[in-house]
Amino acid sequence: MNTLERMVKAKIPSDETGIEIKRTICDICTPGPQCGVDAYIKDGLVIKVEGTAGFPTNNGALCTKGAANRQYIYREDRIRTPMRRVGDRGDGKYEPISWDDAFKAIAEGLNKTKSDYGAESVVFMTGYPKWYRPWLERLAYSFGSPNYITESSTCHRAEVMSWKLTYGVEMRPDIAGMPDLLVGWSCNPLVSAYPMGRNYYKYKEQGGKVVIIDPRRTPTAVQCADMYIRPRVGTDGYLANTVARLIVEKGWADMDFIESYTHGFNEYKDMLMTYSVEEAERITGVAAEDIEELARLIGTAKKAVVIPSNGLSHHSNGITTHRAVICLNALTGNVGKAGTFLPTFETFVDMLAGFHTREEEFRQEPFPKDAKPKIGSAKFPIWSEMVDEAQGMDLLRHWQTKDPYPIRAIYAHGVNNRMYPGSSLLLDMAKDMEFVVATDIFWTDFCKHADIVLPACTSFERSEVKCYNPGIIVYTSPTIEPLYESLDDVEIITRAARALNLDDELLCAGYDACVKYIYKDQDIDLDEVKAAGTLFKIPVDNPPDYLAGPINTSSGKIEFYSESIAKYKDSHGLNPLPAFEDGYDCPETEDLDMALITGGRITNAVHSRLHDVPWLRSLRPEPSADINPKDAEGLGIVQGDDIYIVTRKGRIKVKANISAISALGEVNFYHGYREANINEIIPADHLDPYSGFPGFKQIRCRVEKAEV
Amino acid sequence: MSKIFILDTEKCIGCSSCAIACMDQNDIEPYEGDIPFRVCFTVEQGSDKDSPFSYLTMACMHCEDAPCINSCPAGCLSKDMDTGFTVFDNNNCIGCHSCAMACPFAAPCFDKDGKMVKCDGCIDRVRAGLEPACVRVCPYDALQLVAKEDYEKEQKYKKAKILAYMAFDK
Amino acid sequence: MKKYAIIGFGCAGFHAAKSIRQVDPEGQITVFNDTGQPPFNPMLSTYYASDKLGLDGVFPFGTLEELQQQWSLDIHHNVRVDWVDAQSKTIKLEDGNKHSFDSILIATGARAIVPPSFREGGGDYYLMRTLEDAQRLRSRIEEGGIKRATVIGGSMVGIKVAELLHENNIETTIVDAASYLFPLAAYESIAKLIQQRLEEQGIKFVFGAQVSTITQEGVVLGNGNTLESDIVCLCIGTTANVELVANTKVVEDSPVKVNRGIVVDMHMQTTCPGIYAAGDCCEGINLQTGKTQIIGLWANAAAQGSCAGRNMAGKSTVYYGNILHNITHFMDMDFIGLGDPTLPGERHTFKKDDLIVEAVLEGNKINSINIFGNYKISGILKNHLTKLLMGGDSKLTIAQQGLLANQGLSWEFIKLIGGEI
Repeated sequence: MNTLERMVKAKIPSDETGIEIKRTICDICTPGPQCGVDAYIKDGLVIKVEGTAGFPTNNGALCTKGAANRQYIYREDRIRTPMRRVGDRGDGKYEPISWDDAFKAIAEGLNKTKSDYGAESVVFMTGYPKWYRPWLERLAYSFGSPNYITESSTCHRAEVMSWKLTYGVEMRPDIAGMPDLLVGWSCNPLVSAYPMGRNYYKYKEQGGKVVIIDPRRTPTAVQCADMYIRPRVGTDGYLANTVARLIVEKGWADMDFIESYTHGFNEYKDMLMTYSVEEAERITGVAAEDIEELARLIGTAKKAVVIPSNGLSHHSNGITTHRAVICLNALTGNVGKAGTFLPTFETFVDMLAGFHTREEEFRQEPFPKDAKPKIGSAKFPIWSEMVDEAQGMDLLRHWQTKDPYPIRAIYAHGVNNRMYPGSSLLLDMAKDMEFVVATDIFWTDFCKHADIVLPACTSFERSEVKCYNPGIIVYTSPTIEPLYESLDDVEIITRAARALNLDDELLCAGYDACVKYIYKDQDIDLDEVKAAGTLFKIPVDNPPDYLAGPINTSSGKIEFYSESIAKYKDSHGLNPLPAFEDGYDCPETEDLDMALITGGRITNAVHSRLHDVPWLRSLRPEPSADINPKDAEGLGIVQGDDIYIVTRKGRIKVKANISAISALGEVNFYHGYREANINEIIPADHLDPYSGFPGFKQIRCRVEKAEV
Repeated sequence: MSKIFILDTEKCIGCSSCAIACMDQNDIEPYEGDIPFRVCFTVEQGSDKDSPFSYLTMACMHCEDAPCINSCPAGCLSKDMDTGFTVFDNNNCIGCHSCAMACPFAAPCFDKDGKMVKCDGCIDRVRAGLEPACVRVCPYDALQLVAKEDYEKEQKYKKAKILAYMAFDK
Repeated sequence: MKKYAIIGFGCAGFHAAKSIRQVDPEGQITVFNDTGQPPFNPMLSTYYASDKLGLDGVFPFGTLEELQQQWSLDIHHNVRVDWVDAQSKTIKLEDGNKHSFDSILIATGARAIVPPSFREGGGDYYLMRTLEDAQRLRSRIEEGGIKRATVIGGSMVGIKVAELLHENNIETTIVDAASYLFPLAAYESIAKLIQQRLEEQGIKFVFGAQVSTITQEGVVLGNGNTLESDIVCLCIGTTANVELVANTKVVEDSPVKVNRGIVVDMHMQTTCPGIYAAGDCCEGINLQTGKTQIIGLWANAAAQGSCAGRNMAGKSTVYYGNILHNITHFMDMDFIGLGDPTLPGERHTFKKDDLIVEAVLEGNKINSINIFGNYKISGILKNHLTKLLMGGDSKLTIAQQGLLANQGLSWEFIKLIGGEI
């Protein structure tokens, strides 16, 4: 090879090699940590990716998933053209049609359902990615349906609910403000959101002390924890309340703070006194001295942050557990000051960027007046009050019972049935619909149940405005032409709005006009930002003094005792106090003697969307469940054996990965696999009555060695 | 200036981003018969919550006295004098696998034509002033390429290990 | 200025020259080479014969001119050395010329064995050691018309020759006096498995058969049967070229000791001070037995040559020795033999899919390992075994354990061979 050939092979960007770097944003995971990507382009193709140096989240690095962007965007199963179903739902027989014909069919199908049953009978659903969500929500409302459903029904919204119920606002730990102690309660940022993981390492390097509490022995527990506490899955609430009792008893509670800023302390304290270390040891499996040490660490630290995670809320006792954990911060007065918890708010598409846009207005403005109650309202009233979405976990029940009205059509972007417990039910529902539209990047199982299937493109093939903290804005341009006939999701929504003849000028005007509306209070010219292709900095809003109030709860104070929950005490049997409740789906039996934990992140996957990316799949080629070496020994299982995970809903066959990641008696398994879909055997009715969230992380199960 | 790969084993989480970046850089398709140059894995000992648990990433260690070089009957392997990387020209590779038997780190791979390929330290990137793909991608700066003399001098690298040493004597 | 003489210019001779030059930039290095070729690797002969490698590929270190220039060597080629006088530090060439030296290396290599009785039948046979051997077989195959071939010797070379004949659609039979393949490296179980795989691909075997002679019809066996063959290839091993030592006038009371090869110490010095030997002509230490033995491997010759060169140039250097180890890749199979398979102990087997690893352990001590079906782990295990024999840490490192597990070995087996930490 000559020098030029070597340079081309090594993908060195230069005029001679014809390789050019273009910038975009990775859109594989959830918006918060999304990273800047340098796409190496040659002859209109992405030939390599790299993290963008200086980018706020990643500064040059990428995670495992993001590093595989090239194979992700060129996945074999990309949808290539708009398609019309010609076979039965589910059999995958489609014929290509033009975009015009597709939108014509969509307008006819959705408008017919509207006129036959009412607009609310059409649900607007979405999964991943999330960048177009405000547009889809607006489309739903402009169409007249209150039923906008996202996978946030099982993801992060419950956590936000818990914060709002207790503190009136979502709170974030100020790790950069160097608290003396960081307690990561079921936090695994090293795997789930590495920019946050980097903050943990930085915090440690500067002398911070870390406690990790997690039933799974995660990389964060291994690498970050000065003390690692492993409670039995789902018993965190008991542990938190016991720690709270010790803090109160030892006089470590910040009584001045409690007096000034909290509500319901006496009720809370009375409840705490029913918790004991002995009982905690029995229930949680954590040694008494570790519980006492944890209480001492939190109680005596000058500043401590007890950080919860989504994981805590993915239980049927999720909200109460989450509340029990975050109450520790109010109990010790670690709120509202640097190095403790500070309030935060979402700027645009889930991003916390420190300034306010008109996103909420954009989303909510056309909300249909006199709309029928959105899905989930009756069953999960707190969710319905607090979250601008229908609760998707009530969708299937609603469809089956037609209570209080029938569901007859679905307009979907990126919907993945494997995110739903009892996953195949969603496909059954799709089969029963009169009309289903599915937009996606790839041919998912859900797409194969749609009447019209539309090809979306990836972030590499489109533009997007994105903001980061503090006050950073970027407006990307496509790095390559959209593959095949794909369009970006917002363009599809825009054209659908036009085809439906909606009375919504702004939505019909397209993405650029919408973002200009959303950002119109910012002193920034988005055209200029787009043309520059680089990061722009705008001023951030002055962070509010949280303690100066008013605190946005019913009582105007931080609520140990939640008045919002108290409203549904009798009607729904909800507890205004963060009391520990059992989170299992059924009592323990001889048959179901182990606990199944699902959904905890692995490095090479996000839900289903990366299981078919060969590079990533090669890292862990077969779906494998982590089981403790002692359990494996008892069951006669060795590494790589085929095993069944059995729940009361059925069984799936997976490989055994013998590892102390799992505690004795617990099995950990990742979700989203086509050939081993764990959510199929998670009961669809095992839901948190406060949030509607499924109990993904605490299901009775057993493990059996599969006969060869 | 001679360079060495170091790994901060207290930061590595075995996430394999380096392994993926290596595949992207070198167009490795594991399902089409290519063998990845870099692998990540965990090693656990015991079943308790605090039992030893190690995360590692391994590729060619570019050993100072690389045993693969003399093992190659066809003279395909050599040292690059500037970087200290163990480089190869597999034109004459006969696919005998002798280098694999010499290597204590399982670094040599064989491609679909049976010829030896392996990590070359992204030498052409390094020559162009860029970092090796695996180093650039690492989310935790656990994997680094440093000048040998800096490693020996600077305190900040003291926690990081040269895996080549680790493999020979723990 | 020191004067160095190197007799023989193969792998050991070349590495000695290179090492001397690295230590002593000034010294005069004279190489006496009985061919006109730069260092040639005998292992490449089958690859050359099968056209997988061109002529430029068989000389791994470059041309004579390049080597001469790069390392400032004085190379005398196509010349034989008649004798060495260690006393007066002189050598005499066959043309009568004499050269003096301060330090001398004998690196005369080895040659293919041809038992005299084989010649008596008058049949032709092909060897596979030198470039000329390879060229001759290559021409013969190109000529065509070969239906049946017999390879005498189920050795590593024999198997490669059989592979190349098989690739040319020649019906091939391997004959060996032993009862299974690779008896110096393989356990019978593994050898039989390899044999079975080869038989499935059409190669035939006759084991436990003495060869009487080679006739024009083919190979005549001890039982009188003839294996009719269009060509016969002889791959029954090599013998060290030690004849020069017989002509060496040594220092009084310090004769050069020769067993099968020239005996050397850990400095690669023969029993006669000032005379060094390296490569296939010599016997270095076998780490397993502590005795000297010819370990005719390319990398071993390189290491011995380097060690000898450094000592000759005055840098005291030790080469502790080596173990028997072989990797052979043939017909899409990998076989690796580490250590002496005849040493006693208990055999442990790991088998998963296409990978088989067997180890013979005497108590905790690993005596030998066979690997079938995975080249990746061979280096880890070879280095582990070598380290054990050199008295190093008896445990595999965490990294090595992880790599072994990554390649499919069970933790149980890893622990067995030294994984427990």
